[in-house]
Amino acid sequence: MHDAPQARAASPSAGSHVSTGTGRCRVGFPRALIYYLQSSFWRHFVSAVGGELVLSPRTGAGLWDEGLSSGDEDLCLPVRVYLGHAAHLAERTDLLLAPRLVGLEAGSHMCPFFLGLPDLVRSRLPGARVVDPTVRVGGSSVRFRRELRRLQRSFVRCAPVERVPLRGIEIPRREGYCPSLAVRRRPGATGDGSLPEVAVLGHPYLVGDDYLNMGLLHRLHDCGVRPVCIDQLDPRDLSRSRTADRPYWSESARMLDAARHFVRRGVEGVIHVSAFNCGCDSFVSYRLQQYMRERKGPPPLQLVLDEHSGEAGIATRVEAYCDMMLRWSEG
Amino acid sequence: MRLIVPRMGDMHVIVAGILRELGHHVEVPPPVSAHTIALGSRHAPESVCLPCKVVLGGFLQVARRARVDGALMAAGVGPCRFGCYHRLHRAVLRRLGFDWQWFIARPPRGHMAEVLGELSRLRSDAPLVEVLALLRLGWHKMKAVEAIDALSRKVYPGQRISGGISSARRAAVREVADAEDLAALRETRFESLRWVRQAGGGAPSCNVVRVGMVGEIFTVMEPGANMQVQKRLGEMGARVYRQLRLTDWIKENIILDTLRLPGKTGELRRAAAPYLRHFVGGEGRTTVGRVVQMAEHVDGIVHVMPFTCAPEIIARAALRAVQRDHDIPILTLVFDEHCSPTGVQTRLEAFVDMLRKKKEQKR
Repeated sequence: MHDAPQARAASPSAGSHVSTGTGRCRVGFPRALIYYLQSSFWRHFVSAVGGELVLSPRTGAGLWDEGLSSGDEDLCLPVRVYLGHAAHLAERTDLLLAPRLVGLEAGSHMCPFFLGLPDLVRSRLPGARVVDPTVRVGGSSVRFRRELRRLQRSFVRCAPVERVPLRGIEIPRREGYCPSLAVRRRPGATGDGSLPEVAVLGHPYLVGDDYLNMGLLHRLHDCGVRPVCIDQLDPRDLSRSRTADRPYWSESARMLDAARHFVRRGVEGVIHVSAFNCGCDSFVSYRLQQYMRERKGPPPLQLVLDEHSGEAGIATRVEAYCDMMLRWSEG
Repeated sequence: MRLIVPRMGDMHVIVAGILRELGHHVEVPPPVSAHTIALGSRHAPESVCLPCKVVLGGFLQVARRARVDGALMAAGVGPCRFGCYHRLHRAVLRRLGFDWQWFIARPPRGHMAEVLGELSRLRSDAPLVEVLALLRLGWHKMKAVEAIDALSRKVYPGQRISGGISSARRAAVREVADAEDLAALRETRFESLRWVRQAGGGAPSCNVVRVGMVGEIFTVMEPGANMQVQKRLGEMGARVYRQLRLTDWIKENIILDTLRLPGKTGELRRAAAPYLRHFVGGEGRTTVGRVVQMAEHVDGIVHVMPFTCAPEIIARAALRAVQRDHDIPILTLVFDEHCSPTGVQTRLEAFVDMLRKKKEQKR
């Protein structure tokens, strides 16, 4: 279901911000962070209330530079890239939709950057008109609908359309994002079972963004292994391998659940992709290594992404890891 | 039982006192040194924040020289990493061969029975009334220690002899911790405040500037984690204002939160609202609120945080706007494993000089 926006953005130079001239409120939605966790709800909602959702193009050199020039060197890479996308949209749309994801699972939190994201956008882009509905699964749905009505009002204010009733809308859950490369078979490959599997653990906004992870999935395909992502798994498999003593960040908890599942399934390799200074991952990587040691799983490769733009480091590490994996699976 | 409590400012003294009264043998890590930080960073994952490493380093220092059966540690409920420290500490120490029992003090909302059950194992045979009396005494001792700290910050610019206030303060805290009951505490408190006041009764050698201190709670309170910013500022003739207190933290996050009552955070929330509209974990929002509240009364703000502390990074982004709107200079100091104090010293000196010049110009 996520393939449609990808196809639309296949030519980033043409831009996904072509004016339709329909007089509808144009709502910008950055193709970063939240896009990879929860986007189809917002697309449907915005079109249902008579607006038009405008996605930013895929991350490329321009947006990257824009984001990194934000000056806050302590923010993590995906957040800075998000700010780049937001800056791009702020100039081209009427409103900027930056939901505040507080929790996508009952009883758990997102990382603090998600909690403060709209405020970060506001302080970085003082002129932008930011709308920030709060999403907290397990919270009050009456309050959520009140937020949606507020959102609707700001849409109507910018381009008058008829108001539709919002009754019955529930707080949206996590949707996730499955990169098409992960599910696609490698051209020329004889069958799925023949290639060794490597589990790619990481936040969907790192695994899903090819520019951020320097084409990790492509590289894995080229090395002759088949990447498997967390969002590709059957939710039942994940809930069956729930770890005890889960961390309170929902994404990290999922990552540990998935690691358990992958070890049971017998994947040949595990790659943990994280962003430099990611608070959640600083704890998860330790637990992951510990878990793999205890369960005699494959030793995980940790790839830390930062502003460094040279690809050689990533390339050599991925190749070396895949070589090791292939030798293992042969022996 | 042989217990260990983490070190934080002067507060561990009081906690250790309560546990000793309950019949435990209590070990407290030595003051934070370069060795503590080195030990902590050797065994913790590379990218966790400094408080986690400092506490782990302290635990390891004790574990290497004395037998310990259990540890008392505080925790939160997220999304700040602080709530996960104990899990990491437990895992690291277990791998190093120290299989301790852990007692976790955390906000009990939602798991009251679990938390109380865990902590009541520390009670041994003492009757509940006695425990409550001990806790009450401990609470007042904490208040007294905070009063001593506040006074020493206030009178520091007028210190008579170099090091006088620090030693008066140390003695005062020791006296307070040793008080037997509430009546004795009242007397000691009065007496010890007098010592501190005497030690700082001289005339300041230069124009006193007022500096507010905000930031992540451990980095603000533990001098070993912030290279003694408070003392350095005092020696430069700055009066340090700090609204962040551990008793307030306990009151807001544990007592009032459990009873679901509103506390002082409401005011802070309203003050921070134009810049930060949602809770972001840790002290993030209260940092912004405090700066807005203090902006009228102080000449400058020192904002301290550990490297990669997400709530404070968000607060810092918001503070840029506060700085602009309220015309208040803010110096952010980020602390990591780097142990040389020279950088901090020069930056603080430059900051205080700047504040002093600004103040003179205003006149």
